[in-house]
Amino acid sequence: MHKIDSSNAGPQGQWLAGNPVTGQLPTAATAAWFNAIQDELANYIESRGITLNKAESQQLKAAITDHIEKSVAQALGTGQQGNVELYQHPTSHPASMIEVDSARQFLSAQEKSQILAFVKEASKASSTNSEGFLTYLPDGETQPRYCKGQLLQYFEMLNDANLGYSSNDSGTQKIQMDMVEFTPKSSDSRLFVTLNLSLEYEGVSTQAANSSPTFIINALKQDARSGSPKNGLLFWNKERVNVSVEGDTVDSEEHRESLVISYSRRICIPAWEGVQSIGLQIKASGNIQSNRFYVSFADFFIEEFS
Amino acid sequence: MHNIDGAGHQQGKFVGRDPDTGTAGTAITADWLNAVQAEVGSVIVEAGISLDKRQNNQLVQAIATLIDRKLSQASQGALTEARVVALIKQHAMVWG
Repeated sequence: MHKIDSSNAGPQGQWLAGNPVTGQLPTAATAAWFNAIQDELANYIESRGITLNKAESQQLKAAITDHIEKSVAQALGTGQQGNVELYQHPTSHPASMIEVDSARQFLSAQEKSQILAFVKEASKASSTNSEGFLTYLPDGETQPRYCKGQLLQYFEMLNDANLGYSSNDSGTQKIQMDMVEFTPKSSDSRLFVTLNLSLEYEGVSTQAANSSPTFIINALKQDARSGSPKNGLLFWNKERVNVSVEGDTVDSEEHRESLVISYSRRICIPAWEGVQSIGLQIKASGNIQSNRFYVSFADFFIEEFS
Repeated sequence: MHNIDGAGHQQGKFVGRDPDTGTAGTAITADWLNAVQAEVGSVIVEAGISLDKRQNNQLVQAIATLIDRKLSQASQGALTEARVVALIKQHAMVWG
């Protein structure tokens, strides 16, 4: 591009008109100047991918607006700010970009492994007794329990007064409470049983000092097929509650003991097929005589877990 | 826009008159002059500027205006914090 530089051009490269009166000739038009103008416009228009068209007169405008549009879009798309239409979320970024709060937090690999280990430990039974019942005793706790699964049903049997009375001059005696209907929802569920018992006892030791009667508390399951309680399928088998009876002589009325036993126990056992009812049996045995006891309070409730 | 197609042009270029060889200069056509005038004028008008015979920097003003206008439009769509909040509320209503 250049300004007109032909003969009779103005000192600043401007065009001058002729003046017939003074004989001043007009600025001579040069091919170079016309070509300069033409090339400047044509080169720019063509550089934007537009083909020159004699029938159109707004190709320069189209080229410039297109140029601006694309340049702005490109700059914003890769720059500090993002146009909404151009913004692309990264496919990945470090977790450090995310701020945690009290409700949503990250778990470290160590914490995750600790939790998994705890769950694994808690979900398995820690021991199996002779009847095949599963129990679990968490660290620091004294009551066995089982903490896995979903509660399917809750069942409570409650008796609150003078459930039974037994008296015998010697040997074993027992009280057996009525069987109560109970049907597990699932054959492979776990029953979480809680027993509360209050027992009043009176008896005399037949042995020397500190001989103790033993109460055996059994929870009975009634089999659907036999219709009778099966001692071989017990919640508790030979669960012993030792009661100290002081005395050092045999058959001494002086060493009669009267006491109240409060007993509470929780245990988790597997349910089994065919169970229809559950009862409670309490036996007293040992080197005792003239003993008698009655259950003044007993209840147990069952939670069935999947 | 078109390259000069008046009498005496060579491949769309102007050719000067040459008395020595007797070559006539390329004829300057009204079409070409009008084409150049319309092309330049259309840019200026696009920028909202009225053609003014007394000003010869209107093309510069026009291009600067067009750039500013586009940048302003783009910044309105930029992801400022307020813009993000507004977008979240807008889409939350759709989801909600």
